[in-house]
Amino acid sequence: MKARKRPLNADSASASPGLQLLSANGTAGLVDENDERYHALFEGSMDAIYLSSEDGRLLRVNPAFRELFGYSVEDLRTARARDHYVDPGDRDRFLEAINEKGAVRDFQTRLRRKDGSVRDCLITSTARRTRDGGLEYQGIIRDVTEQLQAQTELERMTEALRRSNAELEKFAYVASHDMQEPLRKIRAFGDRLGSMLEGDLDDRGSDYLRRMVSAAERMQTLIDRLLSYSRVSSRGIDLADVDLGDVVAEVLVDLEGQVAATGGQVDVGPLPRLQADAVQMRQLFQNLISNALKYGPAQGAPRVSIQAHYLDRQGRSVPAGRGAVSVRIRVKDNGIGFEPEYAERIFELFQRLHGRDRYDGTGIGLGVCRRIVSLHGGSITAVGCPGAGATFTVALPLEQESRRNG
Amino acid sequence: MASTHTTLIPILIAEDDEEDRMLAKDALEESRLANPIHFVQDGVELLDFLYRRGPYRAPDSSPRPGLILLDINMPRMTGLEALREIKEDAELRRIPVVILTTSRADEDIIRSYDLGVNSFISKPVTFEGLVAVMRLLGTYWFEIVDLAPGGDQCS
Repeated sequence: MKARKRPLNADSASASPGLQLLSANGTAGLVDENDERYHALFEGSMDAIYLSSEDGRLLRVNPAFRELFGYSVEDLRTARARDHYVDPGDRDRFLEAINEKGAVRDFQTRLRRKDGSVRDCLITSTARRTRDGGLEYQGIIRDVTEQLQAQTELERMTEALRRSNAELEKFAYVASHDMQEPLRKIRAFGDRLGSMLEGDLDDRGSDYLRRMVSAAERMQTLIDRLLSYSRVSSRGIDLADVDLGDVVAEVLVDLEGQVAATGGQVDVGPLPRLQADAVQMRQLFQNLISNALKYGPAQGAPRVSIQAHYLDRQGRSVPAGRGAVSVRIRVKDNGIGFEPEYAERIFELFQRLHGRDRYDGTGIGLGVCRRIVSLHGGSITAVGCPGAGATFTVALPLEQESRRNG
Repeated sequence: MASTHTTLIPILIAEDDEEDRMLAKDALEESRLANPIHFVQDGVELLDFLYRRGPYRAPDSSPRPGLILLDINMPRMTGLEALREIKEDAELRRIPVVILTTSRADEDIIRSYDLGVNSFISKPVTFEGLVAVMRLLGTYWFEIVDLAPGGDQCS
């Protein structure tokens, strides 16, 4: 038979007995009939399969086993299971477990190859009585070295990422503080120079001075905003039961001046109560509404509408309160909009779509919005078209415990 | 209520940054405060000045100030550490201490008041702002408030 031609065994004398042992286990008929299939199963397995005696002699192994350990058939004649263990203590623990329970699943240990290299392996094995009352072990060894390495590497990278994030936040905070100092001085000495030279400076001179001081002022605003951006996450979130209707009402009081100046109108639909950081929610809506007013239509007054929709656990649209787990709030305006290709970029730090001469700004506001929303386990997206307005959609979970549903 | 010694009460400013010392001096002059101004550059020097130690052993080099303006971030000994020592000293604690700093951090403000600071002021951004603060400080501490007597006799 085909299988018999192959030198499967550590001990060639045990080739037939190996099969007979299997027969002894009550599968004789099947083995005889499906010999070829069983051999193919054994031979073709990608996991290492072995049969060993009670004293650890390897009776039979498949090609994957030999490949895993790098042993030739000759080598296996003399090999003992114990010799493969990097920590012989693991062998004792393995035997203890298998002799007690009759089987061991996914026993993790480090096994040594012929060339001395070490592999992390999982052994799943069962003990079996032989016909003559002896004990044998049959099992599968899976090499999980790569998986373990990948897992360790992943953990290491996650930790490194977490640390570098924390450092970056600290850096941003410290840098913003220290960067304020020289700017404050440029402004102060610029002011001093201006007042000392008042009348002596010609138009050009005072124009230069004015530009210098105002550039320093701008930089200071930039750093202030950057600081508030880094604070959003370095301070963490302070969760409370927040009524978004109240939050938006307060924001509208703060923005009264801007609303009046633009002749704008803000329509606010019913908004939910949810678990969130009240200060951050206020900052979020302040930025969104203020943006909508700022980038109003080329002609006519800005109109902003704020509407909430609810979703249940399955993401189906539901009326408020009817099993809703998250809310989608649309802040829609009739303003200048933007090219659809910029829909992602507008949330990046310092990304601005317009020159400062047209719209004043730092390019941080929407970055802060995204950060706040993601800290709450939600998302924010923008849809826009030039001249046809923009819609910002904020998705937030109603309860922070059910963050996964958000 | 105005003290008759208004113009005589010295102001002691602890500030490590040379440019900030210049600006403070200019701002005090601009605010027409005629009080003599003394500068120290960190917390250690500040305490040396107040205890008349080291370079400040000679009494005329270290007159008892009527007001201390204190920066927080300074080398060797920070403003808050110096503040703690001042407020723990039975005599020095009577001298009003005003923190004048770029910090706006809540924890600095809370710590300062915990340690007994008399006022916490965030440094104004503009020079005009600084002049206004100096003028108000002068008016408040030297014209409105009655300071603890006997500072100058102390040795």
